[in-house]
Amino acid sequence: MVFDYEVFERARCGEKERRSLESLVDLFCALSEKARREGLLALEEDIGEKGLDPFLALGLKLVLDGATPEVLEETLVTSIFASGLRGKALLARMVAYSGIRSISQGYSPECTRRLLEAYLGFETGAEAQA
Amino acid sequence: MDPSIGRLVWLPAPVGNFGKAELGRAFAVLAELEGATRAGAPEGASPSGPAIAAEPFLRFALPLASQLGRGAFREAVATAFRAGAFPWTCDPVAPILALELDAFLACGARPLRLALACQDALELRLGRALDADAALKAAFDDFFRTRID
Repeated sequence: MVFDYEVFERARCGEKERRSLESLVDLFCALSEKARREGLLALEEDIGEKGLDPFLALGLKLVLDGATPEVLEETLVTSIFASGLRGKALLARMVAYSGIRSISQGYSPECTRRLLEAYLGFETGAEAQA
Repeated sequence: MDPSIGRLVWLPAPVGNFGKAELGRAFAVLAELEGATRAGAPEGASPSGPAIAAEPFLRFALPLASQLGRGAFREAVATAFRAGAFPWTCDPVAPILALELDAFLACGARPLRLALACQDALELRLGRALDADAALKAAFDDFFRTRID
């Protein structure tokens, strides 16, 4: 699912704010790596971690419960639209939704990174530092 | 609606100002994609070459194209254009390269199919620019004539 222009307009924020979401990209790359190496069920311990954003926890739980892409979209995107968020907070939710879908599809960490970079507009990770 | 136009709807990006220099970049990449198709690029391998390496858009898109299905590739590219955060989203050549790569994914090691699909897609996308500039149109027709003959 591709968010439409209106949603991206509401999520518009400055480069500094977008850069602060790099850690979210790293988190999803780590989770997708773990899911590929140890299986989806290994993510259960991450869901139970203290301080995990409730939206991420919900999304990961849905993935572990075997939710189809349609159910993920209906649940998570509805939650995003109902939240009334704007700017960086909205962009973070959109990135998180895409990251959760990427894990559910079994994409590699590299593909997950590229998919999420599409929202941020810069390269992330060790390669970008080099 | 013309079904050939419908095929382009996945890419929400206008082409903008397009001249002979831009056409040259697009053709240089297409020639390298075609070369990879002729060489029967191994499954999952990325096509490469100096023109491909010089395009910032392809640095983003090639890993996706080589590892994801066509649908997921389209989704990621469309997301990037809508987000408009990467500098290359303002480059008039980037949407053309996206269409070329999309055709490359679908051509299944058939260079002629790649050339025909790109001719179709590029002609639709560049419609006004080609109509307005006879030299551009001649270069466009020339390139595809040599590919398809």
